[in-house]
Amino acid sequence: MALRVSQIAKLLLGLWMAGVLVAMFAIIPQYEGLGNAGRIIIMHVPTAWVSVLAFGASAVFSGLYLWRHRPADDDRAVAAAECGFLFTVLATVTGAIFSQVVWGIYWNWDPRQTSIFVLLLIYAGLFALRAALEDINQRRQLSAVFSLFAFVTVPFLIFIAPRMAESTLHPNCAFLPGSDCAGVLIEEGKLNLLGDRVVQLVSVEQQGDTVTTQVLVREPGMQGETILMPSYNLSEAAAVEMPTFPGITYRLKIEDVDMNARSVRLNIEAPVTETSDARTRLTLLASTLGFTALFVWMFRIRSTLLGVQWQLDQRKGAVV
Amino acid sequence: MNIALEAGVAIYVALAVALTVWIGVFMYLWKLDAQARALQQQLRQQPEPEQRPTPTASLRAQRPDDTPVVSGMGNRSRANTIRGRHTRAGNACT
Repeated sequence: MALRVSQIAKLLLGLWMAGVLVAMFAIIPQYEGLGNAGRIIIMHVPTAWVSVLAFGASAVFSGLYLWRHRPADDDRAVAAAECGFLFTVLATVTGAIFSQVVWGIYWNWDPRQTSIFVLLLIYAGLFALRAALEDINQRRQLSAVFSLFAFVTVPFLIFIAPRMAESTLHPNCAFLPGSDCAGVLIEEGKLNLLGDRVVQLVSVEQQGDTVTTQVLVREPGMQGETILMPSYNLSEAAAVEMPTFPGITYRLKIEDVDMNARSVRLNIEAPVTETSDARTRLTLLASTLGFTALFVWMFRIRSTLLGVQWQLDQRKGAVV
Repeated sequence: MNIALEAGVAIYVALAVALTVWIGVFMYLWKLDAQARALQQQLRQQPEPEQRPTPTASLRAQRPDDTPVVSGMGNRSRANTIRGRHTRAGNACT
């Protein structure tokens, strides 16, 4: 009975992911300004999320191994780490494909790309460590400790480091309409990055309560540049003119002005309709659930195989 | 121009490729899962092999008149033999 339920669940997962693919390519609307390249978010974000989940599971089972010293916990920790590594590679590859389409280059050592690369190196180190140690008890104990330390770096490398970086092309704001993005503070004459656009504050002029600015906007891949003139009302503390970026319907908005420092806070206003937003978000949620289930399935297969291998080794007398 | 790359068609070509890849991955996982479960089942059904006997050695010193002086561990009836693969040569005194 349990086997039958398990088989049905796996078949449903197959159909579910096929449905996610159909929704990704044929149902959700294009991202404004990004065309079909934006659809890759449906694969990219869930794989990155599942990699965090998998590395977390690996750390939990490593902790359990150190506590209980059961070989099955070590098998599960390794299986989870391997799955996490695979999903991180998928997130990196889908990100690189997006990067090629939007920025014109597969890899440019953006803070987000660099941090995920470091994460891959850390977990590659775990596998190298396991391969290097012959004594099985030593291998299990050291890799469990390594896995715990490796997981400490995961939140930092995935969530914190890319956000600490002052310049990243990773489009957090441009991709997620309604997300709480603080925008960028920019002084007169200086450059900064807003989503996937390079912006330069050329001038700031005040006439009465209205502050008018000239902002030079460079398109992704440096394919073109335009001067936009957003403005701001000081007495109402509200944006007045919000010009659209060239070729897309995102708008450039001034959120705050400091005339003493001659600086403004610029942000992206993303006019996405409620319907299209809901479809995209639902597909993203469905994809995240599907990838999580896929991870659980792969994790179970791999840990079962590692357990079988361990039992066979024991029977052969290869392991003392 | 290749019709598969035309705008409006290319997206469905990409969908078909992605679906094909997914079907391939799914079938591979399904097969692997079945094999892993079958192996696990086989291992459960097979009885645990008997523990390999601990290597033993027998030691017996003999006088020329064939009277035993010292008898070591192991079966006395086979006292003149030295058994076990792991017996070190140093133990084998005859």
